[in-house]
Amino acid sequence: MLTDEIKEGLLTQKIEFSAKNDKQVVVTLNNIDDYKKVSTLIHKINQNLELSRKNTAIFISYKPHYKNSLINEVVSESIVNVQRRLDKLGTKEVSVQKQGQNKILVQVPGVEDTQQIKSLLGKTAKLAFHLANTNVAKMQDIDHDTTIMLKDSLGNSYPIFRKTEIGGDSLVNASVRFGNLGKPTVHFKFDSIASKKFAKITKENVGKPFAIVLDNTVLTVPTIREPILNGEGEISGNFTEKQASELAILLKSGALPAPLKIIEEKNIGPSLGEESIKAGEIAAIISIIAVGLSIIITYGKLGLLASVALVFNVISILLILTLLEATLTLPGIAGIALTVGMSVDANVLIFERIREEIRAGKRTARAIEEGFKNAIKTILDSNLTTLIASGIMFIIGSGAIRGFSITLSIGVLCSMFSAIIVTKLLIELCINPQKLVL
Amino acid sequence: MLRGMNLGIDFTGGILIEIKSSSKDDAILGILKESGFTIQSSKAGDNLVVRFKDEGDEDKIKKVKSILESKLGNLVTYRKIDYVGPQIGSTQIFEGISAMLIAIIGIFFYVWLRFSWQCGLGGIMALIHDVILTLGFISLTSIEFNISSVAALLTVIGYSINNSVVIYDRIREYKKNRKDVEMDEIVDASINSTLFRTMLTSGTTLLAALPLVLICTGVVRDFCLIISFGIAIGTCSAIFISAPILTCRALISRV
Repeated sequence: MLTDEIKEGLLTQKIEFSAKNDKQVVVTLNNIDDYKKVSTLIHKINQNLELSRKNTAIFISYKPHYKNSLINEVVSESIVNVQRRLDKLGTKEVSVQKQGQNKILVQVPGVEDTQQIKSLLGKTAKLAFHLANTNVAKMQDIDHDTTIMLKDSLGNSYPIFRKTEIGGDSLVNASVRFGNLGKPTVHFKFDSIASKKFAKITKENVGKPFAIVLDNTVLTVPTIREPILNGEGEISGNFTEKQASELAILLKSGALPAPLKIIEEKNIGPSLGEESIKAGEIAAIISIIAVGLSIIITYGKLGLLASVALVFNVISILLILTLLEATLTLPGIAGIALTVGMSVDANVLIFERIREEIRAGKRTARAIEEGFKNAIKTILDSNLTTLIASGIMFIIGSGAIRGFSITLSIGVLCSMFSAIIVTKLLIELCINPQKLVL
Repeated sequence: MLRGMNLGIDFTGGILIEIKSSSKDDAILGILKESGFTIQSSKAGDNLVVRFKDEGDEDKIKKVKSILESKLGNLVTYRKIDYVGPQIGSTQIFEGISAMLIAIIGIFFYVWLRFSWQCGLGGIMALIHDVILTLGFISLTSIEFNISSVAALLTVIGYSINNSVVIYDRIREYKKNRKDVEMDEIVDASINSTLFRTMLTSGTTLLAALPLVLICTGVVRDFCLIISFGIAIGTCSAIFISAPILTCRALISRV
């Protein structure tokens, strides 16, 4: 990158040289008098470059403190990106930390097969849209300053213009869709600026091929059939469904600032011992039973029905968390047990309301009806407040905050559903209003 | 008396030491804990991975080594020693705090929309009261402040606003039915008629937390302790702050 920039700069100044790139850029001048010109030019490219001179050779490298801050920046950007790639929703308890100076420690719980993780981390995912050079018939025709030969995964080479028309950072969304032959494709959408640019390019180049390049490998070279004005498109290649969804995740998460190398891979045991997990499960079950009993003691037969709804609630929360492939950690289990304690709230509100209506002199059947109707307003208000707060946390937060807001919303929705609909259904099925005592 | 938050490794980052696993593992962990280090440990293959909190002292690694050497001799084989960064970086902390603040503002506007701005104000005041007291509780008991504590704090916020809204709902209903009654009477009647519900819900939640506090240890116990405290406080603030605030003279005139 830096070499290219320096080369280009020197070329425009018409300085004759040869350049080498190996940890630092070495420029060998053909004419020693050009040194001064080179030095001003290099400083113009980047203030933080250092020059040292030995005969005709100039060694160019970054100043040490700038290099350090650059590495820090790259590492912290990579950490955020890795988190996004592995755990979009924040429910998997993936931990990503900086280790040492330039290493990243990633811990993913509950995964048997690390292949997918490695393949997600192994790609820089730098996407670029280039125009293909159609004027090349023979290898000799290639003008290496403007055109580059890139290969696709099958080894075919394509002549492609060096200039990146649109980069992957302009994508706002990427998702898997199925084409008309049932083949998986990756659908993408540009932001508004890139959409306009894309429209302009496609308008001017109808009938010509362009290339979608990922990490310097050509994905596909479609021909522009008509101008694309809405900034959306599809990448079709020879993907399997798994590869397509992986590509979509990678594109959506953005490119890594630098390629990552996997240095070490290890299976680690739980940080909490076997016994403490067991203890946690037992405690959670005791909690649920205790809550059920107390509600039965307070409300009798209605309480029993509420407890059934409670069990339904726990099962549905667990079910949804499993479907989301969320990692169930010990604090997570504790969270569910507490949700149960709180979810009784909706039932209590309803039953209290029914009691009040009866006290006001209404007949039991009518009191149940009115009680539900009046209590639902309160339940909706109080739970909507929580849902709004967790929705905001989901949009703004990331990682653990995001995961928490999802679990919280699931808990609230499930308990609302089980308290209002399931309990009501059970009451209608099992209770004879004439015999109900409250 | 004043001691700041006991921030966990999640926030501070720390030192990671890998030791070749042996029958001495438990002894090693015991010695480290006795010596006053905050540690997390896990097993990785035949390695014992121990994480230490970074408290700014540079010779911590030396100290750990010398303590282990003096107690166990040369039996400890170190595989790797490295610094690890915080699991929650400064950007994430900033993001988390701003998410929380905007969520609170969101709650305010929702309550304003459904009830009145006075109610929004009361709810938020109660909520801030709960958060401050719970943070004080965490700091006073020197419970380690980590990701789970943040989750506990958020749960307390959700719970607190829930309690306030239930009382507001009742106030709104009473106000509609009895236009001529004084505000303080309405508030009083509303608090009374929801009192049983408030106590029962708090009771069941505390009941759910109790076995977890008693049986579990470590992170889970801390998590549930924070929540238990927060719920007790949240119940009080709903009854004594968020609703009575509506009777404040400066506010009534504009209800």
